[in-house]
Amino acid sequence: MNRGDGVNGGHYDVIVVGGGVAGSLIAKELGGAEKRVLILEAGTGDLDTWQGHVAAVWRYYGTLNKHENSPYPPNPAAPSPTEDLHAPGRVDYYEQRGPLFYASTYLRALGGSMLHWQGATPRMLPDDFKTSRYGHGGRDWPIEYCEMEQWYQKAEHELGVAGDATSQRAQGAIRRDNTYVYPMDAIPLSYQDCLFDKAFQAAAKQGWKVQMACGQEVVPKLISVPQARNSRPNRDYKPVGTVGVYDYGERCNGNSNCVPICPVQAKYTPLKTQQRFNRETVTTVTRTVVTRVLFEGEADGAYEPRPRVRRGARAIGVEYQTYDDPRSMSAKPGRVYADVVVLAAHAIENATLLLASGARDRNDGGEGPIGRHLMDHPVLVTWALMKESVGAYRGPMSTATIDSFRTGEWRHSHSPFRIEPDNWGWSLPQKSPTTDVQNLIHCGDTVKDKFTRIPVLGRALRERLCDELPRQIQLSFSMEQPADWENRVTISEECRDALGNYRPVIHYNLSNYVKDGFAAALRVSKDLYGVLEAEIRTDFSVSPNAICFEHQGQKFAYWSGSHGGGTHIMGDDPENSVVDEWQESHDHPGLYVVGSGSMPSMGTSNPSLTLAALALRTADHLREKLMTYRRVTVSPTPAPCTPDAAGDSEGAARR
Amino acid sequence: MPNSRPPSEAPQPLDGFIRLSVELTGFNEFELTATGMVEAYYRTAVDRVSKQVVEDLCQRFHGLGIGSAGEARSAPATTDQERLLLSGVACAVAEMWYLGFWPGLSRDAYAALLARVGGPCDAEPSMQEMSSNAVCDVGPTDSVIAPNEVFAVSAEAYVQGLVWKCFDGHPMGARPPGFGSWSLPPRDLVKQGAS
Repeated sequence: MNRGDGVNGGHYDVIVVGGGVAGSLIAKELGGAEKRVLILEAGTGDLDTWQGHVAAVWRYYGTLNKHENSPYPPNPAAPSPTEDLHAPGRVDYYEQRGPLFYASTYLRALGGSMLHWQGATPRMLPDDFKTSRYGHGGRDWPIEYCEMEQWYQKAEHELGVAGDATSQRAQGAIRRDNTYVYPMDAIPLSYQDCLFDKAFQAAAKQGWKVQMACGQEVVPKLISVPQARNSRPNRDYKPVGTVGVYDYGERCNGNSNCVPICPVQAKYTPLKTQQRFNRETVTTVTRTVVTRVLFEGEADGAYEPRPRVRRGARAIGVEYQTYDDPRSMSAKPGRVYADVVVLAAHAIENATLLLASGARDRNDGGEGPIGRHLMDHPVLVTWALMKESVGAYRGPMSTATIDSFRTGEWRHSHSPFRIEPDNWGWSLPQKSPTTDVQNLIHCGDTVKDKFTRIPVLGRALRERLCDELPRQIQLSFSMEQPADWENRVTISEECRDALGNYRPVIHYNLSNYVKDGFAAALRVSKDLYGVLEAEIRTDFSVSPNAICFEHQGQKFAYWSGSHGGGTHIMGDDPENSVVDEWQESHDHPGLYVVGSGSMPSMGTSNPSLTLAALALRTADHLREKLMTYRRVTVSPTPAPCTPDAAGDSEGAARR
Repeated sequence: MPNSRPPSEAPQPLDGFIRLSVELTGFNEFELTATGMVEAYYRTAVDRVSKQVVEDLCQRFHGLGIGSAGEARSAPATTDQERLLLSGVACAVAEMWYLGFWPGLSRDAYAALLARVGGPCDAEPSMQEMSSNAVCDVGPTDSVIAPNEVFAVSAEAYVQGLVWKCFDGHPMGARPPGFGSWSLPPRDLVKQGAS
């Protein structure tokens, strides 16, 4: 892997900004089609060796605050939004302008946010592609669901998804192909999942239904959730093993650490795709922060702090800063050129970079759609204690899903949601089991006078933990958040990082449509815990990372889904969208902006699989388009050797 | 029956620390020594609060009224300041065994410590990430103690945390029980034969 100064002044067919999943898939496809591709990654690339991976795992073990980015060393040269160590639940790096806190994180390192992702890969549902009919800001995709299906299949193959096609087909997520099976068998359901399923089915037999506000009744059903994690392979699929070690790989063996790092690399990361790059055609460079996109017509060599690029100007390359030591504040500038520039740096970084580049005539003087429509999945988390042990803290983060509330007539009234039963006790909302230990020791049991507390120690401590921890259960409700013009990423002259590059300035809020969804979800949560006969322990005030808000006189809280999207939204109309269906900028030929930022709606599914499918679709389109950029000259077939030409050796060599 | 450990190989302070740790954690001596963390935790405690205070705690723990039964027992006279300090250290040692990091002391307990042994003036615990060395290996000193901070003892300390052992769990990110193990009934139900 090279540093950035090795590519200064060069020319490639394609520059890909960002070494995450979208960039890696596009680079692999185009590199495989003999296109010369350069990936520029702002962060470091330590994890593509086995030693680097093991070091990251051990760093995680020794970290006090085990948040999503904790295995990965902080990088002041390319900072990532990370849970604030001094205020858990808060993230640094963003400039927050409110009114609500935006706490989603991502990771700027080779491999991107999929280094720390959970690995869940549900597809969007057909209804999720046409949400304008529900009102409340919902938008329609310019791509039909049936067109996306082939790309979903390709993405599932590339990521190595383990899933149950039967249950996905039953809810309409697989429509086209009756014979389709996932590359690998579904990850086994947890014991907890089976307990839940039994209880729901028994209650349904007694006539239990959940009443929704619109009058529609729902019978909740628990099914396996597709996930990009090694399992038993189907047909002739070959699972991908570890990166950096020859001939070694594991299927999921229950480390229970998907977030933030799978010690045995059973979980897919883009490093696995990068292993399969055509090394002749794909060059990867790390520690290189792209600072702006270059466009034709700009004065060569001139650098304005805030350029202004007219609509229609073609993208011709990028300007960057490359550094050695992440802690150093010095970086070497450079420029590199290409026929096509692909921004694949994450929804928020893509928008920041577009704004820093002055694209679209500086975003129509600040009133354009770049950076607008920031959407995410705000998550409601509720938790309870079961009467008997469910064997909590085992297995992947989640092995099941309740998709019964992902679409229906209620979408006209409030956000739909996907329910995820979590296998890891109360670790998300209460940082259990750490806080359980601390509470028993330091808060202890109250004695009669209510002022003295006796620490719970010794045998009593051991028995209390043994009794409670395995009975902890938690449900996460991922709410759909439609595109909202006021939620946005922007930049400001005062908000810079250590290298002087723009930090994202975030404006974020939840609409009443989403908050009404929270209210509906809380009612459903109570209903489910009732059927499970679980003792509800939800208490937002004691959760260190909950972001509280009030709605209709009731207190709620949300956690971040870390599913940022919408910031370079896709559409047919250039006036209210940034990219077209191929993720090419409406305003700048040759500039592609890819990732969840392109999604007009995200539904209730984790966006990774969908953005991977979109990236593959864009790569296929680009492969065709790049053929028109350079006409390949084919030499004429050499004439057969004649006695006259035999003595003309120079002529023969020219032919 | 011969003594299993010749006296020359069994340093007394560690013996006392093991006995204290058994009382604080509810795990027996063999379970604790099997973690391999006894010496590291002893050295951490000594480094944080001084050898003198650790030995004092080992001898006077039962008189503090925070034993495993939560009952006060008869004990030599203990001042309020001493009780505050020793109780605080006892809780910190218990937390260190369960979670693998030294949690620091409360402001009042640390003030009592400073009054007794002297040292840096940072009263509130601050966060201190683990150093690049895997094991905390500093010699015990009586005159200078470390600042009051949350301190990750080592990466291995996390893996050996008693919190995972107390319910037949495994540390998240380590010691995986195997593919499909999460589908099996938890131990107590298997024992009772419930379906």
